Amino acid sequence: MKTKLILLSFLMCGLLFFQSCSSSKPATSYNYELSCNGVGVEGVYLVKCYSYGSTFEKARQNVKKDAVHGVLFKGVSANSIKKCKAQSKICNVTYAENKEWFDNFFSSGQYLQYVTLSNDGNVSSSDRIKIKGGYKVGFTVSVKSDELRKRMEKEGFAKKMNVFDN
Amino acid sequence: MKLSHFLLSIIFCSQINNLYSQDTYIRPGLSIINIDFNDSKSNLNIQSVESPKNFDFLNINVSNLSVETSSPKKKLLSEIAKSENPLAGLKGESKSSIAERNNKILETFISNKVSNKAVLAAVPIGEDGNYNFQFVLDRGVNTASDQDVNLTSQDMMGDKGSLQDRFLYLTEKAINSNYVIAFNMPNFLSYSDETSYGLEGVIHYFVFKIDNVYDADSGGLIYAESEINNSQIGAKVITSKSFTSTSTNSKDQSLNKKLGILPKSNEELASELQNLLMQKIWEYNLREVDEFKPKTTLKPKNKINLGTKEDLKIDNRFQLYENVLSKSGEIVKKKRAMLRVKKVGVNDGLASGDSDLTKLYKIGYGKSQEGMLVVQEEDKGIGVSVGYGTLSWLRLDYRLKGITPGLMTFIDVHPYPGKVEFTDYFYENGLLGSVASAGSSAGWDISDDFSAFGFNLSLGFEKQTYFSSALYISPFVSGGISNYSISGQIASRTVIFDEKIEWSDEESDIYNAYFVTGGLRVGLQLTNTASINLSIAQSAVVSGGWKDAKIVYSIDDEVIADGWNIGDPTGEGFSEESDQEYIDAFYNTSIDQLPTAPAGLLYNIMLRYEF
Amino acid sequence: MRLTTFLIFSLFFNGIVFGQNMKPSIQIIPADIYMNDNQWLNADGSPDYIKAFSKDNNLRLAIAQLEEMMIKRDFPLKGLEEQLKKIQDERIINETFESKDGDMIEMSIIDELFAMTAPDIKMELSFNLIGGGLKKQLQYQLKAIDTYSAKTISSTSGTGPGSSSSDIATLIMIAVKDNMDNFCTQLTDHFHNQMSVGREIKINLKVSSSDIYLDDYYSCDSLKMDDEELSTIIDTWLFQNAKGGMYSISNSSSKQMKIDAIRVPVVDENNKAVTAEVFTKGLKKILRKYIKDEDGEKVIIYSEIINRGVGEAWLILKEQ
Repeated sequence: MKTKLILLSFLMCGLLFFQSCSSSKPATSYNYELSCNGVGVEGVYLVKCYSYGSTFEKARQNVKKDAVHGVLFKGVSANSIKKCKAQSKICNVTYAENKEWFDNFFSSGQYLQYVTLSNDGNVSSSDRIKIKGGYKVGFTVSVKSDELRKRMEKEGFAKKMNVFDN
Repeated sequence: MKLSHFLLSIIFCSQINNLYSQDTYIRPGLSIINIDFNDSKSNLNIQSVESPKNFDFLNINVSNLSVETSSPKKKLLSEIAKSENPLAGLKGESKSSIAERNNKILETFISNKVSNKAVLAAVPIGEDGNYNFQFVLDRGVNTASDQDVNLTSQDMMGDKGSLQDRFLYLTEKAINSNYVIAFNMPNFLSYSDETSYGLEGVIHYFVFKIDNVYDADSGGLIYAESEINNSQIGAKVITSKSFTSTSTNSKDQSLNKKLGILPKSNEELASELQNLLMQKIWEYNLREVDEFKPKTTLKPKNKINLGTKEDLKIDNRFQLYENVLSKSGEIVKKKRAMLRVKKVGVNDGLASGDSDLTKLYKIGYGKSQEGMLVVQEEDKGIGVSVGYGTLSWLRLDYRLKGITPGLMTFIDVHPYPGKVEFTDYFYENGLLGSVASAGSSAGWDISDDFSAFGFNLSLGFEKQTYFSSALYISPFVSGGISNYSISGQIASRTVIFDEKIEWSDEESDIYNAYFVTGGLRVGLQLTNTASINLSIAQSAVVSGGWKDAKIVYSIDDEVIADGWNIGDPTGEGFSEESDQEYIDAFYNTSIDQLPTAPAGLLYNIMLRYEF
Repeated sequence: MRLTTFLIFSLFFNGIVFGQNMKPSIQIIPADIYMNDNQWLNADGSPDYIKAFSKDNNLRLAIAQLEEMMIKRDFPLKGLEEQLKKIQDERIINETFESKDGDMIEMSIIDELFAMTAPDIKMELSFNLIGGGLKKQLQYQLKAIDTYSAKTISSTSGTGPGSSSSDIATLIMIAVKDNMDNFCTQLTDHFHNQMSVGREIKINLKVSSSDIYLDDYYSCDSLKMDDEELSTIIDTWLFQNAKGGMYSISNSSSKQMKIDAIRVPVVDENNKAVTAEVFTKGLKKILRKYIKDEDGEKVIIYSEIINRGVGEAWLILKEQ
């Protein structure tokens, strides 16, 4: 019985160890860069999102998620070459405060309706960099900011812009 | 993990401006002028020169540029033949003298304000005295690729603005992409050799890059309309080279007469020669000058959005690069793989966003993944193979680009090396035997210091098809000549006259046959340019075969009598033996190691290197 | 139980009590610097908006673009051009207001406009094309100003992307779109802030009568003040009526009192916007009805309110 307990505890430690070593990026990670890439058409933020991934494909998959996450929680930084301005984040709540809702928002794929990859998801070669442990890739993404904002306002995560009842 | 990424992103952001347009191919603007040297005036008709499709041609308003220096030294074959010291003509010029001349040319170029005129060719001044930007704006729109179209489609300027405004960022680069090529093409000289006659010519050229005149961040064009004619606008000589070529008619017009083809007239020869020289220049330019190499991003399935608009042809070569973050924090380009064009996409006109794509195929090893940078880096298309086997030992092949992938023409050589050993039978039979036995007593000096020399030479076509990027199969056909000849002196006597008995110069073949070969090569790439291949072929003799070599007796170099070695000595002299079986039997007994005649199954293993 | 819950709720959430969506109304006007640079001026050097609108196509385009974007975001907008036309048609240009004693106070046409439309926010736009040659860029400045307090809520400036054809319409569209979300967010924040903290207005109190002095002693029943200086009575009234008792008196003398930064609720019980004029009416009423002099006799202090815009009012205490 004692040996069984010892074995079991070793197993648990092992599992915990491996889980912490997992290299998959949690959805709440802020590990990306988001800047504007021109002034988007009405209702759209046209952004350049640099995401990380262990393979090129993983990085590309992360981009859409990162772009939506950034528009919601981080804001879009300015780009002096493209002459476009920074945009503040949409949400006035944090991810952690509403973790369950946002976890579901991202994992169920609901976020996908607010984002498309420009250029058919093709990357420009200067935006594809091999780094230690994976790739850093930049994609031009168009985020439907107006619709996303409406959704956040409906859920109560963003202050309504033109309605003034408290 | 997060901190290092954060640091990386800071480093990366500082690089981002440099990389911004790394893979945007801006079609270079090109003007063409004539340049005259002290000893050589250029004879080129600028109007007749067609620049390749991947350039934007500019109309420069400049007459011939006269430079007070001698022309580059590149001797033509006919000049070398006439000169006293032919080898001196083959030696090139020293680097310092080339540099000195280029400097003088550049000085004259700048002081004659050719740069200014080149700028005006890109951005002319209209009647109202202001710059007319329409031409260069159209260049910007024209140079936009599918990528540019797609990236700006959700941009408000791209959606609501004019095309010129949408691609203004490309126009700003196109203004600065301004090149001038100066040609010096002296008069053609007449040329002839054993088999042909015609014209031979040389062309020298110099490529100048005009200094940037537009600064996007501050104000735009550096020179105002009033300043442009008088300011000192600089330039740089990027590259200079000379090429020679010939264009000829065959001296033997018999075949042409049968086909009803007339020999080319002088004008046709001249025009063909000019085209040949020009072609060499455009191909060289593409190989060497960085800015002229079309480049883009690799799309999935090895496709790219360059095509006929950039003058691509089947089997053009592309190198693939990947951006890698080095330990020092810099982003460096690393070469990864080599690709060739399989099918050219037709993408003329303005980019639509989903133009016809060009398909590439990978050769050799290395990762090729979408998002990597592809740059056209042409090679000469010449392959050299060395190996061993009964088929051939040396092959030179030339890739025929533009027809079908992997099509090559080749020359195969099997040089039977070494001295052939003749047996005693050779020296005791036939006419040689008679000479040898009778001659020694008659005071002849017998020498058996003659040798046989043989080779197989064939010319053919092969089509290389890749199954994976490292494995290829190449069926081929060729036709050639197999020849074995003997030469040298047999005996001599100088008692009264200068008597010689020797093998004939003209009828010296032991074996002479035409054969055809068909076979298959299987190859494995060792690197991207070197491969090892095994060829197996079936060969058949079409005509010819064994021959009876002729022996000639001469006094004071005048032929008195001749006879054939194996031929029947009875009757009138020694007549030529033509019975193949008889000769075959003779030589099989007289030659120790008979080289294999090219008939039957042949093979070889070769190492091939392409450059 | 339910009633008490409802009452408790209503105490905390004013919005539910009022229950209406109140959006700040906006007026867009060209900034003075634009009018000056482009010489759309009257003979006396003041901006001539009518002339600008009839002659300056770019300006009309720009204002129209901005108005369209604000309307798309559901902000109630008073179109400048139509309002100016209204003023022109009603022939109240350069009319001067005369007080009963003959004091002349002039109002500029914009002040007149604002008096008529009473916007919560005015947006000042100025722009010009810079660069010559190949690329022209739009340099712009957009300021949102609280008309009540004359304080800047949000200001943005920038240089947009270039155009080879000086396509002003597109350049302005781009400039406006780029800044719109941030602007609207800031306006919203400001207005939410105002709802809780109150709007700022000013009152300039002047005594034109020779009988009244602000340091004279009076009593006020409604305020339960006995034998206090008039200025103190006014002070107390302000304290009771300003939102959170926030205001600041600068420049107080026996004949004049300037009160700034008075916090007033955005709307009153009837959902009517509380302008300076509306607010001051309360004081006017007190002065007229509830003042007794030292001897305890009722005194009527007449006063006249001069509207100086939504956020400023002059109260002139006059002869009885």
